[in-house]
Amino acid sequence: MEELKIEIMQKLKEMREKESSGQQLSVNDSQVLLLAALLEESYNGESTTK
Amino acid sequence: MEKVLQNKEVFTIDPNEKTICILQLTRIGDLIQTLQSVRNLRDQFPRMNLKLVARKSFAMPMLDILKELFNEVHLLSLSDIINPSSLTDTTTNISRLVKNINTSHNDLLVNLSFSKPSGYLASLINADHKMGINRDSLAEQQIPDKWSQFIFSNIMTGDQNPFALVDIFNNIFGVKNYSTAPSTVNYNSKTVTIHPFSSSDKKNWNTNKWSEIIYKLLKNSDDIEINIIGSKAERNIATALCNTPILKSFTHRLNNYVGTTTITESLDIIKQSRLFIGHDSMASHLASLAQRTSLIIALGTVRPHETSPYSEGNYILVPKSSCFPCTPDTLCQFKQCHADIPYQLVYSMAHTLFKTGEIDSSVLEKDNSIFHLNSVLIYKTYFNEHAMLKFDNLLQSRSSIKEVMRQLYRITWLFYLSGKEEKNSFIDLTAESANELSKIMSNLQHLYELSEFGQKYSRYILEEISSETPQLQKIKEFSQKIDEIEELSKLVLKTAPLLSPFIHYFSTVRGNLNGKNIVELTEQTFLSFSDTSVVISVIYELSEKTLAEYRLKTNKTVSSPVTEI
Repeated sequence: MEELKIEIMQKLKEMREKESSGQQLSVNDSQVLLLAALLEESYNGESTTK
Repeated sequence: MEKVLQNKEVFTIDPNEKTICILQLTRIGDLIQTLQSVRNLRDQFPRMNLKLVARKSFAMPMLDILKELFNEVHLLSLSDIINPSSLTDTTTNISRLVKNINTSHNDLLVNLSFSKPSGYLASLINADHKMGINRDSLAEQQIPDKWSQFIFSNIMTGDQNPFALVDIFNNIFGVKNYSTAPSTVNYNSKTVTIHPFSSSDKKNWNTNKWSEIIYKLLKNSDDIEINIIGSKAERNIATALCNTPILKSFTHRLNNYVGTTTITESLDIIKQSRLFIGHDSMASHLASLAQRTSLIIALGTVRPHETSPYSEGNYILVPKSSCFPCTPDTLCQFKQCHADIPYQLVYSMAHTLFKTGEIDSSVLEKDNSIFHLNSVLIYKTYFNEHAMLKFDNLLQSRSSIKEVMRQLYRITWLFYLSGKEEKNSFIDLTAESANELSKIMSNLQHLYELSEFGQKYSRYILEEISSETPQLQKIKEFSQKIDEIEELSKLVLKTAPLLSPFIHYFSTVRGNLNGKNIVELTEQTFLSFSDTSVVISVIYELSEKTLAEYRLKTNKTVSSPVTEI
């Protein structure tokens, strides 16, 4: 799991660089963002409408 | 539905031929409320292709019910997706899920959940049109439609939303409530089903109060039996409740189903019961699906106007505690709202409902001490002329300023977002709420002036752009003024926090403008400030009339703001 987290962090760093240079994100980038958000929720608990 | 093209050719759009993909990643309660709204969509368009994307953990327990309405159900589960040692494998699994969702063409994607993952997933799903939160190619958040902007600004950030969640979903889909029959008492049954649990300790009483209610119901009526329902996680608490010494002699009339039934079986148990009692939770939504009369105790973070059982004829007990409703992150040691609802009152109402099937204000006042009634609001649900859920205040108690504003917002939002008017009687003010309302009117004037300035500066930008020699510096200066106006509007929040629904809504609107160039964006900014002025004028006039009526009734003078909007 640690390996996966490190890979995600690396990808997110690359994305931030892409964003700052105004480049569009790829489908794979969106998949990583979705994954990071799902992992974040799995630690904090799933969202409700509140 | 007919649409006329520019060349006058008329073609017909049949919504029955369209596919709507609905994204709902939140909990079972939210999923049931989604289902209640989608039922209206299905009633109106029986052949429409409906897809649902939901979390596996929440959708699996009610898959049978979901499959009755949806043509396809796609399940998202982190544990199914993730390969802890390979990001490539994990993203391939995500690709597979998304590919399945995208297999047949989606005409419309509606994201009804407002979480981060749902926004990213929405960006991966292909659809001609998208509603609700999604992300653009730069991963920027977008909320394109009005009602989703309303949810984002009013529900996610405050507690003054006056509408049932199902009604908001109905408005997003553009359907009316067609299929909700009133909840009724089942006189063929002698059982009362109780769900004394919820998803958080803040939202439910401890077992002592429930054991008192169950004891009194069983002791005072020989013909009553009690069912207790709940999930496996609640099994230990339920066992402790059933083993309470005072309930020992009634075990033959107490059926503990906790942790032993599926959601479909729980739904059936509620259907077979005479009535349902519980907190605001997944089970209370099941009770509305079962169309069984419910008595709901709203505590902690619950917002009764938003999530009470969506059917007519349910009774909702709401504490008058000043801190109610709180938020999930509020620390609370004393749980004042738990103490403010007396168990004697719940017993008395449950007993009356069991015997007669109905409660009115005279019965409440006859059967209960004024001390027990004083700390609660008691509502009965009904549908208004637009088939939207509304609350009847059974105790006719005068409204706090928060309640006054909620009612004024309901009228205003309904008019602004849907062009609907609702029949309402004048709001009964207390001296305190009258004074507060007067102060709020002064702040409305400030907001009105700010929105007028907003219109002025956006017009200046448009004029500068259309001039023969547009000066970039001037455009920048005007644009800065608009930013200042946004900041000043937020300052008004500090003195009038009850105006946050307006301020947050219109700042959300301006954060989601959809223009291709500076002219289009500025035009939309102008229109949004113009809309702000209109909405403020409406609520100002409503406040003015409410205060005038109060003065007439009481012969009291309330300081009123000098200027007219």
